[in-house]
Amino acid sequence: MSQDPFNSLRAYGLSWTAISLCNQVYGYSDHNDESDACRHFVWAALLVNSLGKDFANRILNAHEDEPEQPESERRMDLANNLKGLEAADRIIRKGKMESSALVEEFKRQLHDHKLIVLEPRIESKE
Amino acid sequence: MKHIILTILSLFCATAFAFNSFWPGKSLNPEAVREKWGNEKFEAKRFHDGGAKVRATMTYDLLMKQKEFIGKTAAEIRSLLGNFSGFYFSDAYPTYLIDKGKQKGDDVWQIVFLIDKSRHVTEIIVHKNCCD
Repeated sequence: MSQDPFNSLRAYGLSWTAISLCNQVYGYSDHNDESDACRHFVWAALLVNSLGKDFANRILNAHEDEPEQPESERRMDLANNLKGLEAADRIIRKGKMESSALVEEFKRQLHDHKLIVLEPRIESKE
Repeated sequence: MKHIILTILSLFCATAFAFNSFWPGKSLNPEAVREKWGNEKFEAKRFHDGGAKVRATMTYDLLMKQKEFIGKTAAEIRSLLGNFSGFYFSDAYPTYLIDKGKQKGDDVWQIVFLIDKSRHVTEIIVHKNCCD
């Protein structure tokens, strides 16, 4: 990624966008829950839309190259990234990618159990 | 000219990245933390086993003792204090939610262990997870 700092910066900016979109749904960003799945799904799709699938794949794989991350968490992140990449392809084929359509697609796939969530959020636990 | 501006911008941002100084969100100083959540003694086991509310009460003391954590790896922090909650910059950063607010839209706060490139803790901050 160091060879392409400008696109890396754009990717970084898109991660903010993904977090912001997911925070609108879940209120805050947590770990291993639906908001985590949302971040990965939405960021992957936004990356494909703005920077192309090849660069998106490189960024996402580099992001998961974290030796201390538990294997179950890595699998969750990679699976949800992949679903985001595939969703981007479908949405782009239909026309311009709108944030609202992307979030709705995420919600649909979550509802249909197509995404991995290790620790579903239980709002009353605190 | 466009090339020069892009190069300067890229260099600036790469530097900012390297020092974790470009991630959005407010942080709280220790005095504000004490005022907000109290100053119970930090105990690693209680922190590990506790929820956000329990962790919040020990946060001020944790900040005061942060020298004990500087240089530890993210894996050591996980082992000592439990699985991460919250999120900061990437999944590699040890983060622990301490205040989720009462309803959607309320301020949400977390403890963040800032790490360097070799994933060793450099500083502990209390960061606003959401939302501005």
